[in-house]
Amino acid sequence: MFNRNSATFIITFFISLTCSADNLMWERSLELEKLGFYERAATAIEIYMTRGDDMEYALLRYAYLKYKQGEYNVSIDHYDKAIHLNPDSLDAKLGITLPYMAQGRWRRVKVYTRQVLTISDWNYTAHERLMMAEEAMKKWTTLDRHAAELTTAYPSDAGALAYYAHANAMQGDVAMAIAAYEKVLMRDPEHIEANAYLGDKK
Amino acid sequence: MEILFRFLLSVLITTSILITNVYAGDRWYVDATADGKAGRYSDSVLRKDFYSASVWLNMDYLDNYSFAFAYNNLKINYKDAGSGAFNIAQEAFTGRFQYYFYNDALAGKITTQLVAYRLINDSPAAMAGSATIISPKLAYMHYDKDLSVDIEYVWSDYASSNLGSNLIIQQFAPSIGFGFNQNSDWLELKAYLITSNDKSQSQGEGSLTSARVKWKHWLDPEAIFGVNSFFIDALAGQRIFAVDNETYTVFNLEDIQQESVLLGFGWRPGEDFDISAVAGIEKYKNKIIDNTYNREYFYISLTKHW
Repeated sequence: MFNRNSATFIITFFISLTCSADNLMWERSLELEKLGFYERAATAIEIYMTRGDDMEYALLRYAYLKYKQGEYNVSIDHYDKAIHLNPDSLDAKLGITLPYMAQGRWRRVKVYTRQVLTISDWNYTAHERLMMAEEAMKKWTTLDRHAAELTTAYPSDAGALAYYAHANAMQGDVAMAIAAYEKVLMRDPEHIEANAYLGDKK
Repeated sequence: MEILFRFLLSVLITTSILITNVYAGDRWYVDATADGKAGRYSDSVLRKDFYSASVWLNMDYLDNYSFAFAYNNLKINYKDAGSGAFNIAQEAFTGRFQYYFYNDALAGKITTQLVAYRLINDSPAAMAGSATIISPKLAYMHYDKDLSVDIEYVWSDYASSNLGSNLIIQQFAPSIGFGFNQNSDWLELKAYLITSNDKSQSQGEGSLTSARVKWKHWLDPEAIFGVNSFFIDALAGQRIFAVDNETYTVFNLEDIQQESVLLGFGWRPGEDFDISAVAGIEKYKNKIIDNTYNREYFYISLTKHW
């Protein structure tokens, strides 16, 4: 009934249809996320978490979308699966810090950001989240040293300077805090924390 | 109960030895605390003064579970002790286990806690004696750390009571706490209902109620004398044989506690140390001899964090 060429055409047609359907689901998921429909965005890509080449990406994306919905434990479980699948994934190790931060589990944030920093010494996101953990745990001396190192690596960055200023302020070193906050304002004149501190002290 | 207590204690001690061998990693967090308390009894017909010293060791595995052990040595001196025969010395051994859950539907951390005490003293009084105490607790803390709710139960078995039968004391203590002023302040209310199975051994009281309010305020870093925080704690109502699981204190050698107040200050000399100093006054009544008196004390503690 079918010759060889017809059979090839039919198979190619169905494969391209499947690929198009897959791409359509990813696109749909991204669009739903933009509109704030995180649950529907997650559901759209749910089937890819258990099969195919895109399993890792699907796990990361699903975990992130669950984090956005406040389902932190589900998010952590899926980031864990992604880490298990690819233990060298910086994406997954940085990603898992998001639900841990939301739950106030700063010791876990330290563990994962340090794992990232052993692979990528000056990964800014890892340093930033580690500083957040040090701040939440009130480790002011550690934060002071850490933020000082980061301002050397990222001299134009207002964020690291603000952590340095805050650490000094919390240790009672007002002069150092004022000097650092002034430098923060040179880089970001609208910086809320710097303006509030300097407004209070001057 | 004795078998359960021994089992719990041996599990806790074994685990602590294992933990202290491996704590150097970034997953174990260890705190050690030494404290001392001293005070005198004003207007007491019988009591003169007391001294107490404790050591605590607390070990957390990240934010999953926690073990703590405490040892306390307490000595109460009596006025008419003469050769010392009526003074009381007590040792208290405490073990605590906590396991944490994180519930996103409630947006908070759930703590399950079990504390076990073993008290051994040489008191000749019927109301004292050695005791075994078991206390489970369920606590909730919002992720933002601005709301806490917990319920605590304490079962105390004073098995060596001189009057023959066991004295069983039960304590129910729910509490609620609020953080405000960007969590620079913490206000906590706690209620106590304490019941006794034998009035004759609890100064004629079958059940007593009391309430405690605590306010803690964290200060700016430039605060005077480097004070990091201060707190005020006041108790109204009456209680006897109360158990305080926050400070691992059992009030088993005291009479009926009435109005009490304390003022405390905290310092943080560096990120790895905490110092607390507390001065307090507690009112007691011995209903057997109808004697109301005060206990004034001073307490200091030093904690090192690793």
